[in-house]
Amino acid sequence: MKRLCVGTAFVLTVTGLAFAIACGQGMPANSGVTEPLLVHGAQFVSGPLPGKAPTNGGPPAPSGDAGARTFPPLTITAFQVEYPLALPGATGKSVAGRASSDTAAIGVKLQGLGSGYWVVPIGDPDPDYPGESDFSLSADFNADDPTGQRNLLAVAIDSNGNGGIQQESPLCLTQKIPDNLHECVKTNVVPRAVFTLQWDANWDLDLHVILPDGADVNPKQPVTVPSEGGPPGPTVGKIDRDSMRGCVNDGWRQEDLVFPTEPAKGNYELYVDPFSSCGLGAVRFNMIVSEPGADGALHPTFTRSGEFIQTQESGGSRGLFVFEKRFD
Amino acid sequence: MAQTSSPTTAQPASVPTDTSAPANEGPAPPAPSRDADVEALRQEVRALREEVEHVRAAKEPAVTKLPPEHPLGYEVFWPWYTPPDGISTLAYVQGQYSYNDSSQDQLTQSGQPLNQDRFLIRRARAGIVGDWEYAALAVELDANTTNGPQVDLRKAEASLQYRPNRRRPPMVMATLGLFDVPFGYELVESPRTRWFTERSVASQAFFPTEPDLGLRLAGALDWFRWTIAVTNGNPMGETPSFGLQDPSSSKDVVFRFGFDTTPLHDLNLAGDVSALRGKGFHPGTAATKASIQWVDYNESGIVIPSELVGVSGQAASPSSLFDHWAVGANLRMHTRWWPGVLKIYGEVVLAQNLDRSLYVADPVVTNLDQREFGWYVAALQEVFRYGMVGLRYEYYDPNANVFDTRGGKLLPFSEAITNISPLVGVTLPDRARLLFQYDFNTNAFARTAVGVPSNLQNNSWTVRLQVQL
Repeated sequence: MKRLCVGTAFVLTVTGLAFAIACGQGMPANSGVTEPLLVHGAQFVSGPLPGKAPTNGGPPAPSGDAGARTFPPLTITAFQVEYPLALPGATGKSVAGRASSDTAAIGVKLQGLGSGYWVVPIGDPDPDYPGESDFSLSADFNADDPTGQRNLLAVAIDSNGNGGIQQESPLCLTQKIPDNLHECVKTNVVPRAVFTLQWDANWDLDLHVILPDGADVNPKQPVTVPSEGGPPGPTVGKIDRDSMRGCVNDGWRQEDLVFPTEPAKGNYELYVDPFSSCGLGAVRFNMIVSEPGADGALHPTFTRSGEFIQTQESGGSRGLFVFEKRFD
Repeated sequence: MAQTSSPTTAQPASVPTDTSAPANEGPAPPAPSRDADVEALRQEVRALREEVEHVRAAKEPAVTKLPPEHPLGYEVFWPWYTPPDGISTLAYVQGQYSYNDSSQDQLTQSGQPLNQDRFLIRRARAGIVGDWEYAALAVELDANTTNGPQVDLRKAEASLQYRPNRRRPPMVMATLGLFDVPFGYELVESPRTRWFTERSVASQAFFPTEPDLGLRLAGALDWFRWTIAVTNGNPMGETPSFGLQDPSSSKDVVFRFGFDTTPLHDLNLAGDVSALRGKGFHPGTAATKASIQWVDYNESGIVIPSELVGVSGQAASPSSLFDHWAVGANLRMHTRWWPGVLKIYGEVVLAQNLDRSLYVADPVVTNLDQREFGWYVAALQEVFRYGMVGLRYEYYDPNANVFDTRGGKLLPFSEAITNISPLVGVTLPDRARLLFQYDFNTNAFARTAVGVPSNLQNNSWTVRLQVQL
């Protein structure tokens, strides 16, 4: 009995000591793939962005002359997204700015989205702007992000974790089905119709649309009216890409035939060609027809799903008939 | 044998033993008297026999004092392993469930799962060992599901040896083939007998797997142990991967000198110093063709000239070599006290440009050597033959000269990894063991909310069942 007690005490002591030393410390693992914004080389921190909500006045004006500009503590003095338009799933969007020299790190997030924010250490002092240090980051956007106008928020954080006043930079997330950027610029007119093929695995599928005159529009012959040397006219329907061409992963797995204006009258037959399985077992697809709604935006008016297995890969044909769309 | 003697007829041992009766001495003596004499003589013979046996036993060579095959409960490692003569087989399976704090239900950029909470076959090994007067062989195959199902060769040793005492390691042994790199202790300790689930982080960084191809010379003289080996220097699992191949003609040379002695019946002491020197390989690049890259700056989906970038072709760049080396020492003690055998051991390694799997060293471009330092101490206590408790503390600094850039300043910081690993286990001796190990991990993989390098929660635990032949 004595031996048992001594042995048990030894085990408990060792385990308890180890727990006391090492338990529960550190940052939880989060690759950020599920977040609406992913910043390369940065640390994801759960919780609200530190600092005070942004004001409408933009960065506070510096005091003093140009040689000795001074700012309130923890100030983002400049903040800009390289091009304030992003497709859902866009990658490598460059964001840069400057902050007052008391800054230890910069926190960024998409306003109103996500479970936390990203932190990057502040960069080098900017020789052109005394008292300020640069920062830059490269951001990816989740393909499932809600579309429309958003603000990217940034805040200067000191070494104690205190934040200054958040600064915002406008950014528009466009929708994945091409709508002539109507989601971000409401004055832009949406296309008259869009036939979209989306799929879920890295197969090389191709959208084929048989026009009323019998022509086959597909990624290899991507326009509804063949041009004679020059680029297709602004009213010509066109397939936007040959996704997964040659089984090269492009991350899209989507092809769209966009009709900027009213298509020719008649029946349009929509097919899916399972060109290559790329070594994968099966693929599921959606065929979507989108048309303008009463609000002037593009809305899906028809969706049909299907599946291919590896033995059905065609190597090049019209493929599986899915739907017939009529324009009067 | 039946005994019919009676205490009343017993004769003293000094009574003459001639039992032949003269024919002219009258009537023959009664038979009981002769029987008594015979019995007395028998007793005397028995007493003498016992006395001789005692004397012989006292003078007999001390066969039982030779080191047992598993002294104090541990198995000696190769090449000091002393298998039975002829062909013998070995096999064991380690099935386990692992949990890790850093698991996520996502994939890495290269498509590898981030989830580590899973059942797996860590090792399923089978092999044969042959040992004869002047030759020996060992073949061991490993199957596991650590990175998906795979089977590979872990040991293929062809040896010539001089081993006059069949219960002791060979005095001289020359081995050509695939063998565990004889550097330090962890690399050569068999995963079958090691209680901790894996080698220390430093050992795994330097040697992603234990074996390499080469030539090994080794010998044991009483307590002295020596090993010299020349290997390709490309163990399996290294990055970039040339595992068990050799992209360069240079070889790694490994020396290990040590001792293994049992000064007291219940105490064994052993230790080694090791050194390794060789060349690392920096792979060149193949020639490339010119190409065009497009960056859709304005997200319009339309190619405009300012968004096109021409990437000119590049000629092939040559591969090159760099020096790497390591020195290490280890000390081990086994002693038996009332709960069972206590094993205390530790090892220290100082190296340069040898990390081949974690913070992979390649100083060719930077001209900055990566200096690594690792050590561990561990204790294992047998609890009444059927139980085991243990604790290991390990430390690995993959780069002594690392700096972090924050606010335009280069700030030194430590990328060191520490692990505290307590374990408890139960065992059916020489047949099965069930163990639970928790690893408290501290690292510098993350940053705090103010951008300072910090610990990424990466604790893990493992439940493992091992059954062996």
